[in-house]
Amino acid sequence: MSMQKELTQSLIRLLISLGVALVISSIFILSTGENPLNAYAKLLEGAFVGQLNIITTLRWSVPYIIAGIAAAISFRAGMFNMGIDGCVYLGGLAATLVGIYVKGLPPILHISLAISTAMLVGALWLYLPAKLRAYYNVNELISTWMLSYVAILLCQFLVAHVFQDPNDLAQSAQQVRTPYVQESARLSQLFPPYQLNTSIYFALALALLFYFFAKKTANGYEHNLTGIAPDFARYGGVNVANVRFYSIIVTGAIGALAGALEILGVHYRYIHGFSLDLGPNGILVALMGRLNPIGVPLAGVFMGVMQNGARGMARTSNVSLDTVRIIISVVVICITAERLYSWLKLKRKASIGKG
Amino acid sequence: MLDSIFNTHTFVTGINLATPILLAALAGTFCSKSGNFNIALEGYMLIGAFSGVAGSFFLKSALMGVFLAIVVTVIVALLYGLFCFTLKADEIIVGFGFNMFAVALTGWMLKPIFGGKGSFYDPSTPILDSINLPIIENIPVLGSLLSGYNFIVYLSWLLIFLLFAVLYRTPFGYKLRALGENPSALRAAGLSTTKYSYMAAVVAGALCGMAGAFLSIGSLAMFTENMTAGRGFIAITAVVFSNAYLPVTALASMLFGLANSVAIQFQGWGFPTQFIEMIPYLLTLVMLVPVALKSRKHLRKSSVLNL
Repeated sequence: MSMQKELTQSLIRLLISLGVALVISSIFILSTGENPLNAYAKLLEGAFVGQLNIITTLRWSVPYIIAGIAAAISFRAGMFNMGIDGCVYLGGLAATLVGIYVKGLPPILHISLAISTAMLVGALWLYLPAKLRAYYNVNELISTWMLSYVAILLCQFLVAHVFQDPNDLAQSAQQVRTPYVQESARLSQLFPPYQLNTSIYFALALALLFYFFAKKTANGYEHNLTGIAPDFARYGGVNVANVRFYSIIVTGAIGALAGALEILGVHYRYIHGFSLDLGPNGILVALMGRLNPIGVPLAGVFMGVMQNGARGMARTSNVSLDTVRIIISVVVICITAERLYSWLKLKRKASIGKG
Repeated sequence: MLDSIFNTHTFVTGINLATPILLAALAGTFCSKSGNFNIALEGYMLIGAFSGVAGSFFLKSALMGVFLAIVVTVIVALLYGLFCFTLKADEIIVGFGFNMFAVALTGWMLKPIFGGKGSFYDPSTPILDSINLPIIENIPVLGSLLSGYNFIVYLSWLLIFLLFAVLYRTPFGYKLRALGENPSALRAAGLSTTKYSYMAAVVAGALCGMAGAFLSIGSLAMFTENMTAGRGFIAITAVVFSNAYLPVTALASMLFGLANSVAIQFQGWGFPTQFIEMIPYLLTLVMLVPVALKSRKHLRKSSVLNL
């Protein structure tokens, strides 16, 4: 299928799914006595109107694009890697620790060191499930998901018991968080005082790299083939086990990158709970973008629009933030429903025939 | 020192931890036998937990709570079926979507229904009565081990035998297993595969609804956002571990509950809470080890992402 046709089809599916999702969420909004159209207007306003809102939408798009690509790398190889959230936390913590305790490096080196340590930790965390899936056929969905819970609790433990900010201990603050990283480990803001920072360049570079890998390299082709038809790929000489192994590991590294950039670019310290479900949301982004190297980054921006818009909507109306989670999960439920689209297509053909 | 770990209290806690997982694992076995790798069990349970506490709160009866939980969860399971079996969507993606939907939906409904955010706790809401088994309760040790649970616990034990009988001793069970192993044979016999898929979905929904109600009104009447905390996946692991052979699935769920309960007692020895909370997930990973050792054998239908 040609690239353009593929994209148009993806877009049509997304729009149909979004339509279904909006109808369903409208029912929910109506049931609380609010006007859904008004709520959606508030959502768009919260995402796009005014300098602050636009820049904040971009700021949120960055982690969603990265987490979305992380998920897409595994999913394209047919691996249901649910361990991204754990890697986000571990990556965030690893980057924070390098940011705090390594001293005297120039910013570029310090940031590179923090990010590469984070990515290494993320990759190593998923080493075992990757190995077990690729070479021993152990269900990766369960192992990665369970390890994700373990990782989050481990980070919480390490920070609460070892790395907690000493000032917090003195003030007996409840939040689990480390001290701030040094200035040299911080990514600079693009439009101070807004949170958008240079991590957007990482997101753009990663998106380009993903596109290049998926569409222009033999490895990218084998990677996708492994997901679509593993037996065919094996028959064609692809080392399916290796592709699966590396897909899971790379997802871990990129997930950790998302966490590290959130810390170095926005929070400047590890705060437990900073991920805000970046892992599961990344999976939603990957699925909404239909794992396509152009679709996934666009879906990441879409997620940024929805999430930031929802915050605006929740501020200015009585509609809760969860409404957006309902919309997005319905989109994902609808997006692979083959019959939904063929049924609509048949309908259209029938009506054209009549005309 | 070991007395503080191996006592009746540990056993009772273990049974209470095992029950929701056992019920969900039975549901998972049914789905798995009918050829559906259902990861939405987690979401079903969450919705069951919410409807259970809502039913008990508004209808002033814990039994009505369980009933409502079952009804609502069966409806959700039918919706899952609509997407998976009728609209032919990818079962894992739909399952993931349903899990996310359940978290969003229950989080969203907390406010309009209970007026709170994040969690709901109300001591006046009825909870399930514990039942003392006649005769057995008077037996010295056995009485305290086996008596005094609520009816869902006893029902879950009965269901192990009942569902086993249904799966392996009835024509319905035979057809259900045929659907999982060789759907075209079922089609060749002139039977509708979709119909049997939906039937398995209904059974799974009812079981998970009960599991959810057990969580929310079994011992305390409360609901917290995402309170199932991965139990659905632990149940799925029990299914994978046992290769969907029901007696082993049930045994694995029970052992899981007991092992978890033993591990919790270490809290008394000063282990940090985070490690205690990690235990169910680590135990689940341990359950995967024998699967790894068996290796090379396809444990799940390799589902191709047809995006």
